[in-house]
Amino acid sequence: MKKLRVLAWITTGLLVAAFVFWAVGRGIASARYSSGDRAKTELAELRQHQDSLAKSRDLLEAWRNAPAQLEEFRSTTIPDFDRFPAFRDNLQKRMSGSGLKPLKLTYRMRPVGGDAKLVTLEFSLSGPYAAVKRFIHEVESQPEMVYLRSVRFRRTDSGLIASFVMEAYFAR
Amino acid sequence: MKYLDLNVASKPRLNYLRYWGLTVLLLAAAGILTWNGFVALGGEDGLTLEEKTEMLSLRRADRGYADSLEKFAAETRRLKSRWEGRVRFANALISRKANSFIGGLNLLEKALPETVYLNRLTLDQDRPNRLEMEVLVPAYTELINAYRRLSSYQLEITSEIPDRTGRYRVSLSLRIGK
Repeated sequence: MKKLRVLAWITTGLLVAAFVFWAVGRGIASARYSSGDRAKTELAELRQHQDSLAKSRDLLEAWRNAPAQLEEFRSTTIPDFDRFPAFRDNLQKRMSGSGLKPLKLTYRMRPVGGDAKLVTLEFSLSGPYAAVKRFIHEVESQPEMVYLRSVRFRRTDSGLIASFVMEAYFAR
Repeated sequence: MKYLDLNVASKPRLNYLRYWGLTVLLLAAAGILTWNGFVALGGEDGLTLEEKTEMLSLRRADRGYADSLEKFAAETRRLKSRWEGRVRFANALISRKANSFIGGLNLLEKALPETVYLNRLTLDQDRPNRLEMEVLVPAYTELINAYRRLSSYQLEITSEIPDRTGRYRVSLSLRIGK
């Protein structure tokens, strides 16, 4: 009988010890989970910092490269103004090569963007639609900074007349 | 001879089944609690080993984060104030050069019915997404057909003037591109 009583006490003690162990374990796990949560937040913040830094560095690098890229852009697309006669001659060749008849041509020249000169040409050509379209395509395909600002087509009794406003940039 | 059966015990008799049943139950409960305690202690703390390593290196890299960020921003502001005007000018030129009128003409060739004649057409960089035109349509049915075909290009009609011969002179504009 006494042995059974001792066994009962041992069983109760084991249960109490197990309960204490479980409670302490839960407490420790909870504290650790919360610190893990904080660590995850910190890791996310650190990653975000690195992303911001990388973006700022890239932006700065892009601006550092701006002068060189602008110079490259200028040298490849904006010819010096002494190339203007060749440009004008080239335009004439394109007009006659397309089979179009030039009607009139006017110029306006003004300085822009610090060291560039804008030449605005207004001219009209008459001829078939296919030839006008070919001419537009050739102008648009030129590597230099020449583009058509506007094109106006007008049908007349004698045929099609296309009026162009063209802009070309030259370095001063 | 019949014996008298008397219970002379000082305490009640132990119910063994109840005793052992309760003992087994308590031991099982203790076992479950211990198991759960181990499970709680052995659980993950939220970060993998790679993440912990990454965090250590990120912490090192993060020293002086605010200073570096401010330094980059100040340098960027300085360069931007000096070059932004020229960059904007270059971008505007590139945008103009990239705009093609050929695309608009191709679209118009596809969209206009063959019976519709073009009187006037304007393509302008200042309105790069619109084609403005005046067309001549030989009859009313052709006019409706033309409107049906052109309506998918955000057709805007400014005027529609019939003449004595039944033809219609229509001023309209279409949207090209997005």
